[in-house]
Amino acid sequence: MAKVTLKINGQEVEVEKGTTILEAAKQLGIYIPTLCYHPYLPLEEACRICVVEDIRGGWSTLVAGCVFPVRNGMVIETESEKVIESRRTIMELLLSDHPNDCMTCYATGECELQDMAYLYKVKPTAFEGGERHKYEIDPDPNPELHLNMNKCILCRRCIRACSEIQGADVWTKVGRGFDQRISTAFDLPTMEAGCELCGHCVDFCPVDAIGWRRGRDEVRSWQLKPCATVCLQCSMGCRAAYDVLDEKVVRVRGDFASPANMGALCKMGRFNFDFINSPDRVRTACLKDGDGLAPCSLEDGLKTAASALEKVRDTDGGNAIGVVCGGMLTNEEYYLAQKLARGALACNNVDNIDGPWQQVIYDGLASSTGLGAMSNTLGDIAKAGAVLALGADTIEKHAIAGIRARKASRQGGILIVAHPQQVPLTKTATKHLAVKEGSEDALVLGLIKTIIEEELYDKDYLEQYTQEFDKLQRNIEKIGMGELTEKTGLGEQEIRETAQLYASKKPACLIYGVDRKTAPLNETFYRMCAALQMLLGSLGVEGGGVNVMGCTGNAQGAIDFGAVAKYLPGYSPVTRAAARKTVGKLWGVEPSDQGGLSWPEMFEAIEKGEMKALYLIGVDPFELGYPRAKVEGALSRLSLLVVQDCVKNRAFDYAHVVLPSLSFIEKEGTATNCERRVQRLHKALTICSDARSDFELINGVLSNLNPELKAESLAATFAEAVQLIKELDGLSFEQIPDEGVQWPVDGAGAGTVRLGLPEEEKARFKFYAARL
Amino acid sequence: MSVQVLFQNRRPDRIATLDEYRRSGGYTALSGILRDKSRRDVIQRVTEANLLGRGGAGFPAGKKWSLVAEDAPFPRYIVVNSDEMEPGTFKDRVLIHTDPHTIIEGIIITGYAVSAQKAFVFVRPSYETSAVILEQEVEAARQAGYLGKHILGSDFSFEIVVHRSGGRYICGEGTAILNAIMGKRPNPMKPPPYPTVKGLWGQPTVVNNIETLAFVPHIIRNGADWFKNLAATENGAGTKLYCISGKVRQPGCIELPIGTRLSEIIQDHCGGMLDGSQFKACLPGGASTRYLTPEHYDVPMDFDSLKAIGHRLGTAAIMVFDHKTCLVGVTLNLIQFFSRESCGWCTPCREGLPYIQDLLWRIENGEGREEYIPRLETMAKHMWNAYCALAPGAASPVESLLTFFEDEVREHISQRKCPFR
Ligand SMILES: Cc1cc2nc3c(=O)[nH]c(=O)nc-3n(C[C@H](O)[C@H](O)[C@H](O)COP(=O)(O)O)c2cc1C
Ligand code: SF4
Ligand code: SF4
Ligand code: SF4
Ligand code: SF4
Ligand code: FES
Repeated sequence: MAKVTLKINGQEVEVEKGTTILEAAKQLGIYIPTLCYHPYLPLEEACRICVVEDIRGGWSTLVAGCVFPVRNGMVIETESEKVIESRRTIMELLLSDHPNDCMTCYATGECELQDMAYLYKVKPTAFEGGERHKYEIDPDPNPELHLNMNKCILCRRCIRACSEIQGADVWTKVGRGFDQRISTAFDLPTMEAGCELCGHCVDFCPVDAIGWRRGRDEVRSWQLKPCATVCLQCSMGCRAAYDVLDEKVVRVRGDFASPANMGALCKMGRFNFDFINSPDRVRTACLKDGDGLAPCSLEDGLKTAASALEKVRDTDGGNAIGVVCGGMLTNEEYYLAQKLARGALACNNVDNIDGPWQQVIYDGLASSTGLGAMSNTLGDIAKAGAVLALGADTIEKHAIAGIRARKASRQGGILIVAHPQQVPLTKTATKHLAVKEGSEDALVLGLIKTIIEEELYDKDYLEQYTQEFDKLQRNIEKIGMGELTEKTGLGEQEIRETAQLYASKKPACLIYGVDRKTAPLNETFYRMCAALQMLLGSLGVEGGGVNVMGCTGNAQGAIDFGAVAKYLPGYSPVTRAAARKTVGKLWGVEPSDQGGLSWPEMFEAIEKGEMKALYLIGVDPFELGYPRAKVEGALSRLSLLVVQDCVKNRAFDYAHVVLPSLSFIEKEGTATNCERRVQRLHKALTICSDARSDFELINGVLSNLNPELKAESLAATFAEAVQLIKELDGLSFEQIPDEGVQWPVDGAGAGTVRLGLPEEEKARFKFYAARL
Repeated sequence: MSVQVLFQNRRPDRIATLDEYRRSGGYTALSGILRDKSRRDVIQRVTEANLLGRGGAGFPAGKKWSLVAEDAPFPRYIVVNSDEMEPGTFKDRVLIHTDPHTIIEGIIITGYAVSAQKAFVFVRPSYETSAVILEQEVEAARQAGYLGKHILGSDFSFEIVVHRSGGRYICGEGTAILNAIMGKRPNPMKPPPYPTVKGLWGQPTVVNNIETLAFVPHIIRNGADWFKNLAATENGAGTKLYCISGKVRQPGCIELPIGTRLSEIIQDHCGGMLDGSQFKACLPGGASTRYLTPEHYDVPMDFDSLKAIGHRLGTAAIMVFDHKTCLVGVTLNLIQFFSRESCGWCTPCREGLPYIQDLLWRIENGEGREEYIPRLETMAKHMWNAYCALAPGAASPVESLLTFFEDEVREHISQRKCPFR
C-alpha cells in the first residue's frame, strides 16, 4: 500500500493512502469530534461536526474529517479558530432545535450531544425563539424502544445500524429539510414495520431519541457499572456489556470488539435478562420436607446431596444414577459434572441437553473433514457467494448467523432458505424451499444427486483435496429422486433448480442450525453436508464451509469437555480402555467401563425402574419436549432427585435436594461457541444469597464424595481438562484473550480461524456413501 | 438581431418541426460524425469550442465527457438536466418549446461521444407540456432513424427516455438527480466517485444541462472557432439564453452572444427599466447568486467576467429589482424557498436555513435587532460548510444583502418596520 505523509497540528504522520483525516489524527492521538460517524457503520457525512481546516498555500477550506481522504503533503489544523467557530455553529444549530432536557433525560452523562456542548461550551440559549419540533413523546408501542424524536439530531446512525447490521430496514428518513425526521415506512408502528428487537438502533443512537425503556426514570447513566461477558443464551457466544446497578441488570449492549458478534446481539441476548432478578430466583439450598421444601444451609444441602447419591451408588450401583446438565454451564462445570459421574458415582450416565444432537455433528464431521465442528466462522457467512440455510429458524435461534446470511444476500449473494415456514430469513432469500420438517437429509442428497448427475461439481478440487469420491458417486445412483421428493415434499424440478442455483456462485456456504424441536439427524447427514460442500469446492475456504451450530449456549464446550455419555473429554470414546486408563492416571480413579446413557435413554431407564437417582444441573425437565405426564411420571418414580438451578422450575416439586446456582452472567469460567471459540466469562453481577456457581456446587458434592477429586480452582480444572483435550493443546485459562481462541489450538496458544485445505494426502477430505 | 443558434428556428406560436430543423441543417452533424468521426474527435472539438456547462457551474462539457475512461464499463448513461427549478430560470422550457430537435441531436451526439446506450431527460413535472413535446419529437426522431438500433445504418444504437421529476429543487442537483432517476430518495451524493465513474446504477454517467447539449450539433457542424467567435468577450464562447424578469419593460428569454453587457441586455433587449423604476440591483443568474449593484451595471455577462468581480453567472436568469423593491423581503422570499427545498441531509442547511429565515422574517416584520446582523453573517458563511451546493447557493443573496444593502437592513431594524411598506 502506498504511504502518504501529512501534517496534523504541526505533527507529521505517515499513513496509508486512502486513510481518512480522522483515522490519521487518531494515530497521532489527536481528537476530532464526531456525531454521525461511527467506526462500525458506513460513512454518512451528515452532521459536519468533524470539520477540520485543510490549508493549501494561501487559502484553506473546511473538510469533513470523517470522510476526507489524506493527501501527500496535506496540512491540517483540527482546532483552529475557523474550525472551532464552525463546530460551535453546528452545535448551536443542533441545540436550537433540541428540547435541551438534560436535567431529566435518561441519556444525561452518556449523551454525545451533551458532551459535545460541554466541550465547546455551547449554551442551548444561543439561538432563542426559533421553531422547535414538538413531536409526540413515546408514540410507539414497541416493547423495548422508547422514542422521543424531539431529541433526534438526524445523524441517521439508527438507519444504518438497522439496515447494515441487522438488515431489517425498519428506520428511514421522512420529509425534507427542517421537517426531516426518522420514522418507518408509511409511519407504521415499529413492530409492524418489521422490528426484530435486536436493539442496535438504541445502542447506536448518540442521544435519547431512540432510547431504552429498561431503566428509564429509574437510573442515571453514571450509576451503571458495565461488565463485558459472554451471552450463553444460544450457541453464537456473543460478547455483551451488562450495565448493572447494584444487584440488577438494567440493560445490555453489544461488544464491538468481539469477532463473534461484532457488536450485534439478538433480542434474547439484548432483552432477556429478567430471570436474573426474578422473584423465582433460588437463594438458598432446600431439602424435601413433607410435601414441600424447607430451606437449609448450603453446606447441609451439599452434604445431603452427596450422601444420598452415595447411598444410591452403593445400594443400586452407579448405573442407577444419571447426571444431566443444561446448556448454559461453563466448560469447567461440564468437566466437573462428568468427573463427578465418572470418577465419583461409578457411571458414565452424563449428558447435556444438546448432547444427542452435538455428538452426531462431531461423529459426522470429524470423520469426513477432520474437524468435528463448524468449519468456518460466523463472519465468514457474510462473505459467501451462495448461502444454504438449513435447520432452525435462523434469525430466531442463531441470530448472528442469520444476519450474516442476510448480509451475504444483500451484497449480491444467493440465499436459499429451507424451512417448513416462511421464517424471517425468507424475506431476503433468493429462494425459499418449504421442506417438510426434519427432511434436510433428503434435500441435501437431492442437491448432491443433481450436482453429480449434471456434473456441476469442481473436478480439480475433488482431484486435489478429496478422497473416495467414487464411493459416493456409485452409491448416489441407487437413491431415487422419488424417495427424496417424497420425504422433502419438494418437486424434482425444484430440487434440481436449487442445486443449480446453489452451485452458481462460489464460495458456497452451508449453515445448519440445530433445533431441539426436531429429532437429531444421524452422522451421515453431516457427512453429506460436508460432501455437498466438497463437490462445490467450498470446504476449506474462506466464505464457505459446513457451518453447523448447536442449540444451547455452550453446547460445543459441553461435548468438548466430556459432558456426554459416549466421549470422555477430548472425544475419546469411553468404551476404549486406553482412554479410560489415561483418565484414570490423571484422576486416580478410572471411569467405569460400561457405556453411559444419553438423557433420552436415562428417561427410559427411569421408566423401567433401572435408574433411581437424577442430578439435574440447570435443566428444566419439562422443557425437554416430552409430554408433561411422562416427565411427571418419571420424576415421581425417582428415589433421589437433586435439582440445581438459579431459577425455580417445575422439577422443584419433585426434588429431594435443591441447590441454588448462579446464572451465566454471575460466573467466571470459559465457554466455547459454535465457531469453536473459547472465551472467558466474567462476573458481571453479584447477588447477595447462598447461591453459588455450578462449579462450586458440583465441586462441593464431589469433594464430599471423594476429597481427592476436589477441584482447586477454575484455572486448575481448565488445565486438567486441557491435558485430555488435544484440540486445546496447552492452552491456559489465563492466556485466553478477550476475543477468545478458536480450537484447534497449537501448542503455542494460537487458534484456527477456519478449516483450511488439506496439505497432506492422508488428510484429504473424505467422501462417504450416501444413506437415507 | 445578433446570431441566433438555438433560437434560429424560433416561431412565435409553435415549435419547429423535424423538417424545419433539418432544413436549417439539422441532423447533418449526426450523420457526419457517424460517417467518419471517432468519439474522441467529437470530444476534442467540443473541448476546443470551450463549451461551458449552462446548468450553473460552468464546467467545461468536453472535459466532463473525457472523464469517462476509454475502458470504462458498459452500459453508460447520459442524464439531461431540465429540472429547472432555480427561481427565475425558464430558458430550458423556452428552448424545448422552440426547437426540440437541436436538443435531441445534441443528446445523441453526446451519447456517441461517451459511447453511452441511453439518455434520461429529466424534466420538471410542472413542465408537462415540455415533456409531451420531447416524447413526441423523440418518437419522430426514432421514426426518422436517428434513434434506436443501428442509427443511420451505423454500429451506434441509442435510446432517449423522457423522465418526469418528482418535483423538488434538490432533484436537479447533479448527483441527487441520479438517486431520483433510480427511484431513490434524492439526496446528493458527494463525489468521489464522480458520476462519470459511478453514476446511475453504478455505471459511468454524464450529467449535463439541456442547453449545454443543444449547442453540440452546431459546434460539430460549424467548428470550434465559429463557436468561440460568437461570444461578445475574448474568453467567452458561444451564445447564451438569458432569462430576464422583474422590473424591465419586456421580460423574456433571449439568445445573445455570451458576455453581452448587463446594461445592453436591459436597455437594448428588454426595452429598459419600467417607467419610474431605477435599477437597484439584480440577481444575475438565479436565486443562488449574489446581488449585483449599479456599480456593475456594465459588466459583461459571462462566466469569467462575473467571477472576476466576485459574482457568478449561474443560470443567467437575471432578476431585476428597482428602487421600490425591498430586498430584505426578496431575500426572505428566496430563503423560504431554499429552506423548504433543503433535502435535510446535513446540519448546516437543514437547521441553518430555517434559522436564517427566522431572523429575516423578524427583521422584515419589525422585530429585528442589531445583533441579528452579525448572526446572519456568521450563518451565511457557515452555509459553505454544507454537504452540497444548495446551501452555499442559498447563502449568496443573504450574504450579498448584508454586504451591499446593510443600511436597508438597519433601517428595517431602527424603524421597527419595512420602510417599503
Ligand atoms: C440545488 C441544485 C439544483 C440544481 N438544479 C439544476 C437544474 O435544475 N438544472 C441543471 O441543469 N442544473 C442544476 N444544477 C447544477 C447541476 O448540479 C449540474 O452542475 C449541472 O446539471 C451540470 O450540467 P452542465 O455541466 O451542463 O451545466 C443544480 C445544482 C444544485 C446545487
Ligand atoms: S439527548 Fe442529550 S442533549 Fe438532549 S436532553 Fe438528553 S442528555 Fe440533553
Ligand atoms: S434517532 Fe438517534 S440514531 Fe437515529 S438519527 Fe436520530 S439521533 Fe441519530
Ligand atoms: S431494534 Fe433492531 S430491528 Fe428494531 S428498529 Fe432497532 S435496529 Fe431495527
Ligand atoms: S446542503 Fe445539505 S441539506 Fe442542503 S440540500 Fe445539500 S445535502 Fe441537503
Ligand atoms: S462526523 Fe463527520 S460529518 Fe458527521
